[in-house]
Amino acid sequence: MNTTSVNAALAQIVGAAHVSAQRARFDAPEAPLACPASVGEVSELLKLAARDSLRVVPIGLGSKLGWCGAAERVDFLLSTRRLVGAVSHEPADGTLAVRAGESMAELNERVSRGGHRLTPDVARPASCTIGGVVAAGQSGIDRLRFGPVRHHVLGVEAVLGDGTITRSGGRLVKNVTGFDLHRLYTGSHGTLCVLTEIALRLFPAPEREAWITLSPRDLAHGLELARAARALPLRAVSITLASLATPAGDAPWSLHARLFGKRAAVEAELAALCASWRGAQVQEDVAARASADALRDATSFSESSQASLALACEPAQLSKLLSDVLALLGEATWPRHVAVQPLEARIDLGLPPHVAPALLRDFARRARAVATRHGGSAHVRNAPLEALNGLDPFADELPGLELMRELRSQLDPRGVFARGRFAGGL
Amino acid sequence: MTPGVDAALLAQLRAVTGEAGLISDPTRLLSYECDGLALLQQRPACVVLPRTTDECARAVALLHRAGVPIVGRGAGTGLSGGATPVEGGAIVGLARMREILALDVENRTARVQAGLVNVDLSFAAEQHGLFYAPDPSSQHACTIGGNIGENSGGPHCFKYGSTNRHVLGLTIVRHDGSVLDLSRVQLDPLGYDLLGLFVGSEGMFGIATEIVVQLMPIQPVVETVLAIFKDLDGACDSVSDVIAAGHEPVALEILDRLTIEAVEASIFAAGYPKDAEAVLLIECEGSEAEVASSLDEILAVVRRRGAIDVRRARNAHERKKLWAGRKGAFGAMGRIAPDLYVADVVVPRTKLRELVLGTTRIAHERGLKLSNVFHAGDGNLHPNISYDRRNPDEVRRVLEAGDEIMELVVKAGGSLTGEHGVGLEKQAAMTQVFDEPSLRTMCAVRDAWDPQRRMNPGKLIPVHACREMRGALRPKA
Repeated sequence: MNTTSVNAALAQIVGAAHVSAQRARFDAPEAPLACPASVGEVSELLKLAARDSLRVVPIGLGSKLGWCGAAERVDFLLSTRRLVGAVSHEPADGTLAVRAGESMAELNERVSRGGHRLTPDVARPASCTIGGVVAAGQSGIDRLRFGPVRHHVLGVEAVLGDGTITRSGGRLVKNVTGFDLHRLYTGSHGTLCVLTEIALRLFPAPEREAWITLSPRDLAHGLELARAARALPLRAVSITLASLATPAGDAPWSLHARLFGKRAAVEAELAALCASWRGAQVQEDVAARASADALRDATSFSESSQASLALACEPAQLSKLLSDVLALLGEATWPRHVAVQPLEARIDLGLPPHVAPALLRDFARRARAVATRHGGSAHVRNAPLEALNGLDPFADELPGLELMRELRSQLDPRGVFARGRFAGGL
Repeated sequence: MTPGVDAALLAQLRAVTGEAGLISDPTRLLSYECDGLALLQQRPACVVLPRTTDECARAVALLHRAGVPIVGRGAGTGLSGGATPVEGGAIVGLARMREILALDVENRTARVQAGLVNVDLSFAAEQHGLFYAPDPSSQHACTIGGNIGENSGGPHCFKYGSTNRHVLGLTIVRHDGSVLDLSRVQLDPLGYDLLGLFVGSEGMFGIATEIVVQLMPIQPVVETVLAIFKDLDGACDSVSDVIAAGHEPVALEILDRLTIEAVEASIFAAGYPKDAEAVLLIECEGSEAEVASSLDEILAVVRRRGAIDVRRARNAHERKKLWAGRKGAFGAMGRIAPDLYVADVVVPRTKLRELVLGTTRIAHERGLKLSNVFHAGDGNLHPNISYDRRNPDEVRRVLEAGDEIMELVVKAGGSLTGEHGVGLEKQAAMTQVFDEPSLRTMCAVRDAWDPQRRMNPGKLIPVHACREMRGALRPKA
C-alpha cells in the first residue's frame, strides 16, 4: 500500500480529521499518523495492519521516540493521544484507571484533586502521556522514594497486533491473579501491544515539602554527603548531584534533596539533613516544588536535539563509574552536563548537540564499555540514527534475547509492530 | 511406576543428585502428595532434590527428554494447590538448596539459593541492620523460591510491596534444562522485563534456583499497637478511613473473635482480649517524629470508629508476641477443626466491611464456621473455613462457599487472589476475571517459555472445560 491508500484506509476508521503525519523518530521520514478515539478503533487499526501487512509504531505524544533505534519499516503511527479520561478513580482506595493517552500533566491535576500524588514524576509532563511513560518504562526523579514505574502499574488493557483486546492485572493494590503481563508490556516500547488503559496506585499528597541545596567542595564531597544522607532517618524523594555547564564553561557541583510527606515527619527529616549538610539552603512548599521541577526538567536532557546517556550500576560501583565517565568527557573536551542520583546509582549525561555522529558513537561505545566493566548499563537516547549505525541504543548483550524474540513472536506473530526499534533488534 | 519415569530414568537422576536427592519409594512419596491445599492429593512418580543449579538443570533435562511433567516445590506451604503433583510427574524440590551465597551490605542485596527459608534471610541480614521485607505468615517454613513462584505477600507488604518488588535477579532452569541467567542486577530491565514476568508465574515458566533480592534497612523506630473493638465493622471501617486519609503505616491486620479465641488457646497466645469482637494490629515505622505523628493520627481514627482500648507494645518482646499471634493464627485454627480452607481474595479497601459481612453470610448459610484474619491495609481478605475433610458433605459445602466468596468479591470489583496464587484452587474461577482473549494471551506467553507445557501443567489457566477443572477440586473418595 502506498501512503495515499494507507491514509485513506486509516481515515475510514478514525475519520480524516484524525489522520495526519509525524516522524517515527526526530530524524526519520514522516509517516501517516492515526489518532483513534476508542479502544475499538485501536483494534480496527491493528486488524487493518495485520490484514494488509502494515508495520505500526504505537506512540503517545512522541516525546520518547528517540529513545529507540530505527524501525526496519513504518507504514503508520498509532497515537493514543485521543484516549483520555479516567475509567475509574477511587480516591478513598488510592487507585486510578485512566485511558492511556492522558498527558502526565492532566493526570497530575486529576489525582491532586483527589488528594493524591502520582509517581513517576517525569520531566515536561505536558509533553508525554501515561501510556508513553509506561510503554517506555520511564521512571521519575522521585524514584528514590517510590521506586520504578513498573512497581505501580496495577493492570492494563492492551491491544495486540491482531487487534485482540486483552487485560492483565486489575485495579487493586495487591493482586496475583494470572500472569503479570503488564510487567512484560511495561518498558516494551510498543513492540508487543498498544496500551489503551492503565491502572495505577496513587500516593497521598504531601502536607509539606522542602528543597535543600548545598554546594559541596567537589564531587567527592558531594558523594560523601549523599552517602551520609542514606544513613539518616529520612525517606528523601530525590537526592541529586548536578553539574550543568553554561556558555561560560563547566559549573561547580551542586547537591539537592527533596523531602515531602506529613508535616511533622518532614520537619524532623529536614532537621536531620540540615545537621548533616551544614550550610544548606532550604526552600519550602511552593518554592520547593518549583525548584524541584526546574532541576528535574534541566537534568532530563530529553530535548530531541540533545543526545544523552542514561548510565546505571550498583551503588558500590558508582564512584568508579562516575570517575571513568567524567574522564571520558574530559578527553572529549565536552562540557559537563551531568546529573547523578547517587543513592540509586544513576548517571544522566547530556551530550553536546551538533557533534559529528562518529564521535558520538565512539563516546557512547566507550561509556558503555566502562559501565559494563562496573556491572552496569548505558542507554543512548536521542542520538541521531547516523550515530547509532552499528550501535544498539539499549545494550550490546541481552540475557534472554532468544526468549524475548519468542515472546514477541507469540504475541505478535504477524509482525505488526515495527521491528528493529527496541533492544536486540526487537 | 508410570511409563515416563522408569528404572533407567531413576538411575540417571540418581547419578545427578546422589542417593539422598532422589525419592521414589511410595511411602516416602506420601509426604509430597499435596501442598497446603490438602483437599487435592496426587502421588508424584518421583521427587528430585538437587543441591545446585547445575544439578537441577541436568535433572530437568533428563525429565524433559523423557517427557515427564515437572512440578517445582519449595516447602509445600502454598495454599492454592500450586505444588500439587501431576499424575506420572516429578516433583523438583528445593529443600537441599538453602545457602545464602552472598550478602552484600553496601549494595543491600543478597544472593540466595531458592530453597532458603524466608525468615532465615532476615535473621542473617539483621546483624547488618537490614531485613527482607516479604514476610508471609508461613515465613518460618516457606522458601524464597516458593515466594517467587507465588509472588507472595505478608503483613509488611502493605508498605513494602509483594515479592516482585524485591527481586533483582534470577537464575532460572527452563523446561528443557537450559539455564537462563538473569542474575546480573540492573536498575531497569535490559529488553523485556523477564524478571517481572517470571515472579508469580506459579512454576509454569521454569524453576528459579538462585535469587538476588533487595534488602531494606531496619527503621530506627517501630511502634506496634493493638486496637480492640466490640464489633468487626468498626475495625474494617477504621482501615478504610486510615487509607482514605492517606496514612502509610507498615501493616494493618485484622483478626476476628473466632481467630482470637483460637490464638489465645494455642501456643501462639499473644494476650489478645478474648471478649473482643475484633482486633486491629497496627505497625508504624520510620523516624521518631514520623512514627509519633502517624500513630497519633491513626489512633484518633480508630477511636472515632469505636476502638474501646488501644494497647501499645512496650518493647521488642511484646511486639514479637503480638506478631506471633497474628502469624500463628492459621496454625491455631487447628483447635477449631482438623482442616482449614484458607480463602485469599482482594477487595477494594472502600468495601472492607461490606465484603467481610458478605463472606461471613455465605459460610453461615451453609452451616460452616468462618473466621477472619487478614491483611486489611491491602484489602486482602482471608476468610478461613474450618472443616473436617472426612465429612464429604462438609467438604462440598466448603467448596461451594469458596466459589461463592470468589464470585461475590469479583462482582464487587475485587480479585481472586492477593498472595496465594491461582493454582488449582481458583483455576476455574479465572474466567470470572479474565475473558477468553486475555486467557489465550497468557497461554501464548506460557508457550514462549515452555512450548510443551510440561512445567506445572494443568494449573492457573483453565485451558480445558471449566467443568473438568471443577472435577479436580473434588476430594478422592
